[in-house]
Amino acid sequence: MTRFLDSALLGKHDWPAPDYGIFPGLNRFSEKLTADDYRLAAHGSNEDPIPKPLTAHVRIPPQGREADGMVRYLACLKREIAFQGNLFDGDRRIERLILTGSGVEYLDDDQLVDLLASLHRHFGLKRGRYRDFSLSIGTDCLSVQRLTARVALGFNRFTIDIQGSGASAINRLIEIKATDWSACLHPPTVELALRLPGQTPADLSVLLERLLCLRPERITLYRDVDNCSNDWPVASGTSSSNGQVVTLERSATLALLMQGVERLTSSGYVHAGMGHLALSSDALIAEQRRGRFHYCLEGHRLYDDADCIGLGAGAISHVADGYYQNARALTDYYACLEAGELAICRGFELNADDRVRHDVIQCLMGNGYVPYVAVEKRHRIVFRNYFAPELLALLEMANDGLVDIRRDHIALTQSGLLLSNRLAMIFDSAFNELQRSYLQMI
Amino acid sequence: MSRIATLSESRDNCQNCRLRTLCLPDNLSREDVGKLEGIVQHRKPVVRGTYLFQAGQRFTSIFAVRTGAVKTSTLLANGDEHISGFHLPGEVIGLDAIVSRDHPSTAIALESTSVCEIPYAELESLGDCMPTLQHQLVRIMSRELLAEQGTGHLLTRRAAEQRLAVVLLKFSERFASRGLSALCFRLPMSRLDLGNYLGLVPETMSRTFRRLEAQGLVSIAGKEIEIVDICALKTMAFGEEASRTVRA
Repeated sequence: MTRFLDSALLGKHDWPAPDYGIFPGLNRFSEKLTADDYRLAAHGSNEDPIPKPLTAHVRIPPQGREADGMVRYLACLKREIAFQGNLFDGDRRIERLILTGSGVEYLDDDQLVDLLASLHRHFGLKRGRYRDFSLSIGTDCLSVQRLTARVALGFNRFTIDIQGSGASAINRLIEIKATDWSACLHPPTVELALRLPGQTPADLSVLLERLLCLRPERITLYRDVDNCSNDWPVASGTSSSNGQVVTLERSATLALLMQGVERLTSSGYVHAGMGHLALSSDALIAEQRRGRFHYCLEGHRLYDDADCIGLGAGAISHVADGYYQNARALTDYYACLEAGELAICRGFELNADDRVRHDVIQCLMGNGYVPYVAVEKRHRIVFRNYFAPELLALLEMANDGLVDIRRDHIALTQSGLLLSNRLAMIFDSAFNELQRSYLQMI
Repeated sequence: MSRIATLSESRDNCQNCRLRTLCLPDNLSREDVGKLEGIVQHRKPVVRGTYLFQAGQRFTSIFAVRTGAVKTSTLLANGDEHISGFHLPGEVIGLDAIVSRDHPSTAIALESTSVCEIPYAELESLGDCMPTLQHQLVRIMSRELLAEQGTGHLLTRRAAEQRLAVVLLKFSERFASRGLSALCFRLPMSRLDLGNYLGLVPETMSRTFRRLEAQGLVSIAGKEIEIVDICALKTMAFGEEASRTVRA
């Protein structure tokens, strides 16, 4: 039974903070980074004794009404897949595939098969029980044939964004699960995203009851309307600043979040932070494999530290210690690829300080727990010296019960998990004006 | 009598070099080191991929690695590169060229590397009047020769794991001789290069590393290697006669 702090105390700390899917944020990306830098990073990533596994994020934005738009986009996408495939060693296969973007719903089966074939030809798709191929599905496309066809292609996770009331979508899914997937040996897992703004507590509780009937493997409760699981984050995810209206909205969504998390955690879900919940069976598997949850670009949890390849307009790759983003405008994207060049137009390479902070923020966002020794070993610092100002800043939150600061670790409390990005922001050097003392390296 | 040492003196000279016990100045008197210092050229760091010398190039100097890492290789008849060794700070390369006029092998920097270039003709004449220096040079040659013998030893091992275990132990010793940790170190070369040296393709390299990790012998993060169970690693490398010590 989770007991949260009272909303007034939480509300005091509830300031907008970036969604730390990427750190540092998009605002620090520079146009000086080019495709050549990306190529260097990609080649460097092949050199490790055990190279990291690969994750592919394929983004398909909405194309507008013309049929040609999608055809052209897919053609360019396949060119990009070919170019990117050449950069990575043959034994590095794609272990995790995510197909997102509002345009995904408009792909017909043939196009999907073609796309997967292209990925397999240039990278190799890792089949097998531990693959994680996810596809976003629109709520109006929930037909049995469609889902079965997708499962047959190899997808084993469906991400569904419940807009509005969503009760009908949930009911549909319950039906499908009961009839078609009950006989499956490995039924696909379902991940639902729910938007909180605009709901009333009564509505929410009804919705939650329906959700519990369905028991999807993962549920995400989003407080921000902008933070859509289907599209890339536009900016660093801070909400609009509108003073009073925002405060009311924020406290309302916070209350809804608390309500949701409380109800779901008392029925077998585990709260991983920021409104991301997973069935305890799901969470256990992740912990067993590596003991690390990772928080990535879409707020999903990666199990392993992998190199992410972003494919598609506006997609972001994360290879070695850098982020590289493709051109966002379709015209630019087409221009680059049709000229035979990668579409990378900007990015950011992390320096040593960024890397330490990235590690700590990942730990906080992913596990709600930062073990000092592991971080110290990875980055050769003395945690309590390096982060002395940050630990001081956290004290106030610790006194309010959001976080536990111990001799050898920091752990977020149940209430702190609701605001993990706000706590992670303490470690973000772009946002704090804390006094830098000295860097201690061992 | 005290003398104020200029910064350039204290930074780049054999007397104060951390690696002097591994390199030429070992056992030399202060005055002799000064004379040696006179012929050594301390080169600025070069970037990864720079050729220090190439096969076929006229031999003039030997090189002592100061920072970074270097790989030496020869070109096979079919055009393939065959890596014959990796050289860490404190080691001397180019010795194989002394007997001929030209370098038989190529040396390439694996990362940002700085070397000390010692023109051989001048070293020889200096050695004529400094028997300790000559003796030290011969000792260094012998050390390198011993290391070479170890390589041949390596490739006759049947299992990939044994080859990898031996090479990791060798690296461990070399790092320890410089005063660094024998159990935690960073491999400066790619899996492609290491595989070339051991006669394994990159995929097999990774599979072998994974197997060692799965057996709890090592722990790998990126290029950082941590030897978790050194006794077991020695047993794997040398069989039950783990009492036999590895010579660098």
